[in-house]
Amino acid sequence: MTDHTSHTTHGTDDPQLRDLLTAAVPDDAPTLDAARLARDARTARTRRRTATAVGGVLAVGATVAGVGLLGGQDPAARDDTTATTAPYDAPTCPATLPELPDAVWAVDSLDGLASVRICPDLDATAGPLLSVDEKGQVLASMDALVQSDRFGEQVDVAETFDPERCATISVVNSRQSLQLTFDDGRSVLLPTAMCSPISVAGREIDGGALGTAYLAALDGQRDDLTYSHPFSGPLPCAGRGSVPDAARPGREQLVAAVLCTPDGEEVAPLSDAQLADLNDAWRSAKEFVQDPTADDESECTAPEDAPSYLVVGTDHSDVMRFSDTGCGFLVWSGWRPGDSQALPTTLADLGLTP
Amino acid sequence: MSEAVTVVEPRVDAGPTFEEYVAARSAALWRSAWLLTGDRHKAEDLVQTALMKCWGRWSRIAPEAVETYVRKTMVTTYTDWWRRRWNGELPTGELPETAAAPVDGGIRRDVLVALAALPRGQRAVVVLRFFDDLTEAQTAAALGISVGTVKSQTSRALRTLRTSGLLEDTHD
Repeated sequence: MTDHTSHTTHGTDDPQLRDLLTAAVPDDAPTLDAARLARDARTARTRRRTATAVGGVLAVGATVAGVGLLGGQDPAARDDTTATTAPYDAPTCPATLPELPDAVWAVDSLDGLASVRICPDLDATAGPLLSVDEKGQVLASMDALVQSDRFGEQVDVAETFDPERCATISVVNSRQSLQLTFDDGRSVLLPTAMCSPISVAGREIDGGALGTAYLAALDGQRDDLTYSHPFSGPLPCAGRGSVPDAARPGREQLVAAVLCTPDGEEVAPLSDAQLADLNDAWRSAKEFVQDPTADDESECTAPEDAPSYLVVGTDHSDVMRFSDTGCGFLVWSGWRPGDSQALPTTLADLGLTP
Repeated sequence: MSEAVTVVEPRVDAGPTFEEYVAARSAALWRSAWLLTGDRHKAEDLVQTALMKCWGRWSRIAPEAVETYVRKTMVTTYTDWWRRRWNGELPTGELPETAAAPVDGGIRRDVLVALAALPRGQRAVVVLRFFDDLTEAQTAAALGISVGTVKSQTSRALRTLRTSGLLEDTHD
């Protein structure tokens, strides 16, 4: 059956890898019933032709799966044979990030890239600073990109630096950086400040776009790999600065949340029941697009006063903010530029009184 | 009244019937699917799903292209499956049980952990090239990508597997 002469050689990796794969695979493959398969296929075809609710069947399945997820029992996560801790094993961020003028603004090549990690500027906040321990907790709980090829793919399609656009914009002075670690042990910190021209393999990328490329790659990795981290970080109503996350409604589980006043004061943590209801709404979130033609008399104009909000932690240690719009839903701003999601619930629905 | 519909139309060109193919190749497909998914039940589900998709087109598949067509369907299903899983939809069938303790736990676990670190596309290339022994051209056809992409995916995958410690570092 196997024609070894048809191979393109890859040096000594051929027989070694082949032997390993062959040794790993179980010998006892199940026997499939061809007649039953054909019968099932015929039944499925008939169903597709007569029913209009195939999507409804899947939606029901999703709802059932959603109920199963309430207790954090993600069926996909039970597959321990493919679970990994690699995203948490990548080298951690340095204690001190360089100021923008002192940063490295170029990397010649992404060859040999092993991991990429976002290093947030936790001191860039108008509120009270996190303690040293709290900062350590935040940094230790963040997942890194270990499928490093994804970063290269995203960088290839990232927007190039536009000097004309940035001529009218002041560079946002932030020390937030991407830490690139290579197979040979080298590491490089690249700024992700918007309107910073960062040279990556000879191509000038806007620092903001570089950060988005990283989050897009991390988003893909979270689809591909099974991993999570017990949430142990702080959930401060203020003072955490901006820490980018790659969360997506319904994928990450919400594991903790606190209610905050518009002034950034904590009111109370959510109960298990309230968290369960919030998870339901999270899974049902839909893209929120503000209607520019909305009547000013509409009750759904932005409130004059800043709204109360929830600070929410996920099983991937993301920390997100859900704001009560006063229009019958909570709003979360995603990592993609312009992405806002509406969660079909309110603080009142959750039994929360700011 | 009408006669019962045959499951598969007879092939004029004497290629395998659907039943013949399943009997001859399902075990091999399952082994490949196991390397892709890392789980017995998911592998069975994947193979069954792919074969059911191919059933309706069986009579229109050229005999010499059957294997490639089925593998392409399986890999496409695998890729699509894992993407939809995180959108709240789950594949049909039984939920996977925890894998039983393997006979040779060390190698099996090491291989699965190493494969789990590869992106889906690279994982598929590794399985097709090094386990199924497909050529670069056959792999490209099965995955619907160029031969050049197969080469680059292979190179990156091998580098990752070396870094993971699964493969000994070579001096090429």
